[in-house]
Amino acid sequence: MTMRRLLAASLAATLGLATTVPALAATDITLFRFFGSCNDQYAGVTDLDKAVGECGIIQVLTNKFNAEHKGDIAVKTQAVDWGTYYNRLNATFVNRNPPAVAVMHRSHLGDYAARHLLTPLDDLFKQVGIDKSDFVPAALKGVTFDGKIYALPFDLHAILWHMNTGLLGKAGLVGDDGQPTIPKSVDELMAQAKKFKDATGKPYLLLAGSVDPMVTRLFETLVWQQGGHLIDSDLKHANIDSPEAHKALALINELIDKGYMAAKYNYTESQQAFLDGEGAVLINGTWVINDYDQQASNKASALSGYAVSTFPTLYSEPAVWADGHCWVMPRGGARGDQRQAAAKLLKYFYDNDLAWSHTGHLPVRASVLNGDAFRSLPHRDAILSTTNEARGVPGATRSQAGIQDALNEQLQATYLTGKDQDAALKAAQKRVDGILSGRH
Amino acid sequence: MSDATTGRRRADTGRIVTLTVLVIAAFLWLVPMIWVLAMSLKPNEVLMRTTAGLLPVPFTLDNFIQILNTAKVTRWFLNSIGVAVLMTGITLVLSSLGGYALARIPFRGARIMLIFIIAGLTVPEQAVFIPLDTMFASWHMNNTIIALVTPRLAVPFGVFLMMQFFKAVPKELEEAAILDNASRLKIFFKIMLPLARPALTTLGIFTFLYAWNDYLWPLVSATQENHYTITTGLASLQGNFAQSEGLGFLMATAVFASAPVLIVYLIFQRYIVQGIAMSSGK
Amino acid sequence: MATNSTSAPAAKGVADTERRRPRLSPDTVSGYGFLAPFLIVYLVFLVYPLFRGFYLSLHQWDLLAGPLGWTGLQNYQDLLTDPTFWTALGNTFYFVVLTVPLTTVLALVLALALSKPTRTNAVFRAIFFSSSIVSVTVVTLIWQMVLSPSRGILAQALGTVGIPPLDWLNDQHLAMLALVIATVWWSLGLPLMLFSAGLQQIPGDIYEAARLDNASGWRTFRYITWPALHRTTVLVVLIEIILHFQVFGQPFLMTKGGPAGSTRSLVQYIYESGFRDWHLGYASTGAMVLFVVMLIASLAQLHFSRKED
Repeated sequence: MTMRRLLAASLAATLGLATTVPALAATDITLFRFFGSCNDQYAGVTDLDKAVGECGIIQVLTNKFNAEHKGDIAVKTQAVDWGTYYNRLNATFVNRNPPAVAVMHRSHLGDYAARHLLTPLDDLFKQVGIDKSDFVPAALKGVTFDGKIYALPFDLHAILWHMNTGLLGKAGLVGDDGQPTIPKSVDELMAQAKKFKDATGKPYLLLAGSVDPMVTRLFETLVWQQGGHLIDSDLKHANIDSPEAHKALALINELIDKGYMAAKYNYTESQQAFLDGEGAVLINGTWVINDYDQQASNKASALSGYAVSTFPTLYSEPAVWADGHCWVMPRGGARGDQRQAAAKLLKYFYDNDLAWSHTGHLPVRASVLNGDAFRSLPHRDAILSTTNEARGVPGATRSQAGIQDALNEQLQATYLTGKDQDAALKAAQKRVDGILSGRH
Repeated sequence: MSDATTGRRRADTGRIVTLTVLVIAAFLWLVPMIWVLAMSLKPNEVLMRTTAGLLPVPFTLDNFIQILNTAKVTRWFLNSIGVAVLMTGITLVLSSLGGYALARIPFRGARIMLIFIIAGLTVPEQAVFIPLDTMFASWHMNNTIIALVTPRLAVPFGVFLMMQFFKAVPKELEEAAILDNASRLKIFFKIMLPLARPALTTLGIFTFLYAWNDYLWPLVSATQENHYTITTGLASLQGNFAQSEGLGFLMATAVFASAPVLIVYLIFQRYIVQGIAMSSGK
Repeated sequence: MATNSTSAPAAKGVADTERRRPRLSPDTVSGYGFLAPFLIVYLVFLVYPLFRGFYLSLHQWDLLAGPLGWTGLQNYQDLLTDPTFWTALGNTFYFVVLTVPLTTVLALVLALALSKPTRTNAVFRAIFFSSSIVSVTVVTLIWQMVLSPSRGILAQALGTVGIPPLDWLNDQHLAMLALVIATVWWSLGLPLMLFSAGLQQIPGDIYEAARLDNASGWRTFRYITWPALHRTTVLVVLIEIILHFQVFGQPFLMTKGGPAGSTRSLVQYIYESGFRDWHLGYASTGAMVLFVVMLIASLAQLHFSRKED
């Protein structure tokens, strides 16, 4: 019985394999990306209206591109999970067969550009008609190293203040104008959190504070809002053992200790908690506006009313952690005909910056950002100022992945394993110094 | 009532208690796998509401059908089979030849060779995965089946096992052939190898399992999706899923990944016991 | 053997020499001939990489940019003053210290309970071994699901008696325990079989004598079974130490080394140093330290096993 099933399975598999052999004439290019794996869910879908979320939109865009270039170019998506994406990408470089096109965070670009692993794109942009003057200056600057452009900017994303307005209303935190109350200082935050907890017994804030780097983003935001900085401008030393950092970490821990912030969640759990109405505010990124808006429109959902705003300025300076996605062409990835094909794919992404912004990410093309089509999307007017408040560590800082992980681990230790805050910041300082010096 | 009868009754009660405990323990031991199997046979929508229950009710084969329709999963599966079969076959050849030499051929330097090879048992595979990766990279041979198979052939466990076995074979069996002036090769193929069937089966099973379950090396070496093995491919699926939808599918991939090895195990399990007894030495 | 006399004709003399003092005996030829295929693979794919790894550890070697300069033992100094390294090493030790005794004791108890060669016992043994068959990704998937506070079967079962769910993988005290439980479940098979084989080798008449002397179960175990199993126990313990010291998959897949790095293993640190931080030289240094620890443990194993022969 089992033997027969196995035989049937192997037959089916061989047949399956046979049908995946690509058409002879088409140029194959590999698209290496995160954003999730959903090509089964969206198989054959080319209608953008049906796409929800990052995975949905990028998959449908890819499907559309393939359909429009049928017989000419075939884009093969390799979706890698977010956590190990860069390890995997690095492994492809080691193996000397990197993909034709890959997505990257702007914060990681520097490492690859410095090692000459990316194809400069200035000429290819001109060839396919990508107008770099349409990019928001910060976006273009972020992908330029030594005067050369190394990536196509795709979006800007930051952390936002996602609110369950239904729950806030129950705690009396919605104004007469129907707008939810958003704190404008640390004191207001504490007061509102207390009011919420007293009224509902639930934490005011939800955060993916375990495994996920969300707490690091929050921490950095709080440091910058105090006018502090984390990496010295000479890029040789960290500035983590600073008064601003101590204050930021103390605030985070105070919120957790008082029960105003629930942080022992991984990313999926924190999101689920928000959607289940376990807290009023979820600190999460731009990439979920689309998703949450849809959830809130579902009457059966515990998310009884959704609003989002720029991350509130709790100290003296408006600032918020931000990064951006961009597309690169690794050196040695696309060869011959593939180069043109890859460039065409980049142009396609450039043309669809508005479609991508349906996720919630902010577009990087000025024409799109200032256009009505974007601004009329739900909630976008509430987050426009994010583009101006966006902050990050200096673009050329090396090993930002390692730095973020080092910082994340120490910050999480203070509330997950009871580490002393002073010790944690000193340990983070030491490790990041080691990373910046090239020792680690 | 004699002491013997009371004693026997006490022993009977003890035996019943032990049996009950064992049955409960065995059941609990299997529960994780039974539960996962049950989930793999339930529809995704049902699982989004609740994952409770050890019985696959409501029943569906959709998840498994979806696997067979997902070209990449079946591709990974075939990769794993290819790697496991190749690794097993070549290991058997290399280990039986080498094991026989160390056990039975009195050649010069045999003792040094033995120590040299046994020392290799101390080298953990994780200590060499980085230089191995750079080696294969410089030969442009990562993402090939050769890269996945060859490094593990070098693990001396197989040679060690076969050597132990051949040492235990009575010398008289060989002596007759030696007196007849038969060559070593002839002795090996005509006498030793047929005798070695149980040991070869055991080593074959161990190697197959080892190949099938290898994680770190395929993770590092096979970076192209269509070269993943089922082990690394399954891990990549785990990370990608939001874990709220497609749970049934995810469980089905776990079952799918384990099915061949479970079948191999069920068929050959007594050889595993024999092999372990042999390698622990007498 | 008499040497050639110069009085003999030259050609014949040479022939005589060759016949009387062959350079290579047929045994040497066949010995190395049989060994060669394995030896070649062994040298190329195990021995050479080991030395190359050591060579890498003496350099500042970038993952993709290649060698950036000779640093001698600087990497070793940096590693031994690196708190993250020590935490990873400590986590690994902690993991081994929890897993090895638990697995060994459980395997021994089961082997004793199932020592009689009955069909039922064979079925039981097969059940307890079956969990060792699956791969690490399947094991971690299973146990992540089982231990999930929201959807796991453990939470459901405890919930029926009113016990609230535990958040195993996010809790600093429970995360390592979760890894240990999953690992014990996964790796019990081999020690169980080793102990079973060891028990089978104890001659039956010793037990007969003990029974005639009216020895209790405990005394029989302590003075007969336990000493007889000594060699097997040493073997089991050391195999497990070596196996579990190299742990990678379970923490990497179940907790990603968290919470806050409290379950990160040494191998995961090596992997991250190489593939996240670009430092192949530094990663190789960690690998060399791992090798040294394994070497010490293995020498101890050989020493102890030989003592019993």
